[in-house]
Amino acid sequence: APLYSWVSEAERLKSRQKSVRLKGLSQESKHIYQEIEAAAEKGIGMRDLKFKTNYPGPLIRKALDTMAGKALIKWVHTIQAKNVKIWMLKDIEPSREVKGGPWYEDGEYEHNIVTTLYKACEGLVAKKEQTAQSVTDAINRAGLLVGKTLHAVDVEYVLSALELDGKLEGYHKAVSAIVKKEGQSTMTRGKEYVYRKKKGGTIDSPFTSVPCCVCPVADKCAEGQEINPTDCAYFGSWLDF
Amino acid sequence: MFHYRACYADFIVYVKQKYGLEGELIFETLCKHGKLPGEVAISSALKTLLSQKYTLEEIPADLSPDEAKITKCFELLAKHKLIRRADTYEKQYASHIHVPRKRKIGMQPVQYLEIPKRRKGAVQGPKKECMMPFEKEDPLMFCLEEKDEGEVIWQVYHQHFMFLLRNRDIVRYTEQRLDAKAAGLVEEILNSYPISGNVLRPRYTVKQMHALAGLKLKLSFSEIREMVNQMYSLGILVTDNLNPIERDSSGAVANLEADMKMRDTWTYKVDIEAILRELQIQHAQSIIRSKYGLPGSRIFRLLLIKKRLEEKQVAEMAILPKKEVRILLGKMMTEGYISVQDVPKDANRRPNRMIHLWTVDFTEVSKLLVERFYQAWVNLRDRSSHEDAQIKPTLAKVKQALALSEDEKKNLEIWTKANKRLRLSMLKVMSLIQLFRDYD
Repeated sequence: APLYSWVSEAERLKSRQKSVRLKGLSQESKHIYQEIEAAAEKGIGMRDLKFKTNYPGPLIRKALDTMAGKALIKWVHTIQAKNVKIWMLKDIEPSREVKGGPWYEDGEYEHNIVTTLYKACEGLVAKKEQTAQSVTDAINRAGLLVGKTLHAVDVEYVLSALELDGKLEGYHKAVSAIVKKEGQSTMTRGKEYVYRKKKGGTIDSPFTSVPCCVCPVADKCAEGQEINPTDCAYFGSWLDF
Repeated sequence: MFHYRACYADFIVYVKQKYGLEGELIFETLCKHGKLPGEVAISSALKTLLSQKYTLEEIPADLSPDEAKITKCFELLAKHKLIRRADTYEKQYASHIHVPRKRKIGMQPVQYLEIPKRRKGAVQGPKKECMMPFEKEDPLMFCLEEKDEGEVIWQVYHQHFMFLLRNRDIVRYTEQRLDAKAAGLVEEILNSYPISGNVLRPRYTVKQMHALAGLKLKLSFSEIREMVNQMYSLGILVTDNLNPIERDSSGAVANLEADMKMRDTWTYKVDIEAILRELQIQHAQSIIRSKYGLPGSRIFRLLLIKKRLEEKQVAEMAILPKKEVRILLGKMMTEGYISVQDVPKDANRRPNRMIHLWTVDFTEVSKLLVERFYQAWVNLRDRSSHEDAQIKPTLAKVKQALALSEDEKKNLEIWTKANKRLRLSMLKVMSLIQLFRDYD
């Protein structure tokens, strides 16, 4: 490997802009900035900063406040732990691990958003089979989530949950399309993952209609014991006595 | 032993539907006594029929019409292989039936016989097939004539009933997933399969399926082909065919017409093991849904598919809040539906440096569920016996044609409904036990 290499003009400009931004910061602050930059969209918390830099807490806090004041970094909530701040560069969007899906607001899970998306996806696929992208486009056009744009990745989570619940099933469908290029039309083939309503739905096991299924003391129940099927109140109400 | 006797109610219901009252009485007699000589079984069933049909004064002098009905029904049951000659010390009739000795609940039904060991260095002959090509049934097994000396003793042919009940559940599953015609086709294929587990199941091409069931079900070749393709995509049918389908660089089928022609030459069989497994999983999921709700059943299915996941991965994939996931995982682990595997990040094995991987072992879940089913069945039977004991004086009055009071009439009405519900639940729970025990 060569000992040196020529740096491109764009990279040199970037490096100069960075040094202008970091002008006036102490050596420790620059070190902390480097660690935050290395964390990229995952961000880094106070504990990890202390572990990596070995600086005392008050020093790190002061440096972070200075850099936040200069609009170099920002903090975001994380869904992994409540009331924990994660620091990252100002212009970076936090990753899914940190921010959560569109059903998280300020690190809090919102049941209403999930329920709305769940019902919407179920309704759309019940009408005709769809891909995740087509469902996403339909939901974005309808403007179901105010102020939010969904991506296909987010909708796939909801469709997978519907698959797990036995309401939908997915399969690979072979598709072909005619593509016209430079006056010539060619047939291209591929496959896409498509969701459709699962025929037959889910089984309701007959065991669920028996009181013993949901009884909290079923393992203690036996003839001749304190809890027994002869005197069982659940049985009584089930048999309409 | 308890399990085999508990299945008898199911058999009697099946026989009653197909063969009427006479069949029911013969079967009740055989099930009550286990094994009986043919004449004794017929005479006992006749006595019961007379007591049900006539009062003491009305019994006719000539019993030959009723006796002929019972005898004819007995012959029919033997002809349709629902009863067979019982095994004796001298003669074992059902030696062709392979029932695995050691097997765990939840495992797939064992199909292979033991392959005899070959000595090293000896001249290697052709390898013996581990499965029999056809089912060898003893011709005497269903023979009504007493060709051999001594009395012929009869018993219920348990394995055939299990075969019939298994086929019934698979046909119902196919009807639920597709339609009645596809279910009919699957039924015809299943009826051609052998009863014992160590015989190769026949495979059919589309043409052969059309020859087998096309006329009976009034289906054309193209309809059957379409049905077979649908069932193949749903996993109801599988093929052993190893010819690769030509695919282009994107993975799609290069020539659809050639593919269709190739599929017509493929041989298919019903994937019994996969269908039974899917049924078991759906029942387990339904039971978990009733206890822990939709989130619980979603977590169960997710862990079954993905094998091992951390808590945060479960929360992300199931789109549930972490707190709820933690509570559900804890509850389900206490009950025994899921288990956790701790993987240390370093050699110290400190609790705060452990990765907790959640998983579902379906064999253990099956064992747990079968235990619960048996407990529930026994509870239902105990309650049923208790209710019968309570209503016994009233029933005695009814038998003696005495007048009943208003309270007694009301109690009788309530008991009738309750008794029906209890008996029906017992039958349904027993069918679940049979499913989870792989119809052994």
